[in-house]
Amino acid sequence: MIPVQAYFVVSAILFVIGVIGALTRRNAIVVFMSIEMMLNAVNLTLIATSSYLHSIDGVMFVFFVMTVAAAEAAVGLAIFLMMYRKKDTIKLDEFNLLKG
Amino acid sequence: MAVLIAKWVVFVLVSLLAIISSVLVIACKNTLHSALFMILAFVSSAILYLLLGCQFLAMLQVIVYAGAVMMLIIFVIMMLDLKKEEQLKRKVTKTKIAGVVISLLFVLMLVLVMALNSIKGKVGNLTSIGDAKTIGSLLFTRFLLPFEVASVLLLAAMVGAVMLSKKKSFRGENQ
Repeated sequence: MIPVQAYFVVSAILFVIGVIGALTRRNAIVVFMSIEMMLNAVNLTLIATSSYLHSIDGVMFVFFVMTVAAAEAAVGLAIFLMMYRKKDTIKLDEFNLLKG
Repeated sequence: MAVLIAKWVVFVLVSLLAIISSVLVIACKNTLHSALFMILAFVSSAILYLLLGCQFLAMLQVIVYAGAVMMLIIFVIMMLDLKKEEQLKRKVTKTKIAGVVISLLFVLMLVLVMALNSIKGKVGNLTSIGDAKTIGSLLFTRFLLPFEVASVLLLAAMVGAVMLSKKKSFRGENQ
């Protein structure tokens, strides 16, 4: 049996790759994909724990995380379309309307 | 024994594939290439789910993430003209360096904590966590309320996406 820690280490690495992507890239779609990557890493942790504890709760949680991610994708991409229509770009530096 | 070795080989190869394709997602200049590597990352984590004995969610991962969500993202990338973003030169600012350093410290901490501790918790009595029958029957009994709330959330997201992407603003301005 592969130890559960191996899965945890892989998902920690995937999560941090997502964090670095969200912090350093300025393209809104790439930042969005980095956020999806972080959600995916957390899903991997939940499924690994669920599988090793023989419990269904983590799997149900992943199911709902996937639902929320799908809803987020639909609304987020619609927002990117609006941003592009307004400024002809989706560079995140251009959007500082809420900066005050 | 042979099964265990095969599992380890698959695990190491698929994990490396997932990590490398995730790095390429954030390293590629071309947004479309990033999206294609993202599909690879999602499919490789679906294989990891299969390795953990969770077939239903592996299928869901391929259908929902690698299929629907990434199709939507690629559709938007094709709709927008992203030449300006791709020609952007990479500025290395202090903030970015600080972000990368802090993230690397964070992964070091996470790996140390996770590799040194074992999981504690009540061990359940399920033999298989992956079949659609168990998950489906739980969705309609114990998790009925979250299930219904999720359907309302999806409806709200659909209405929101339609309202946001309508050409005419919903307040009746511009045209």
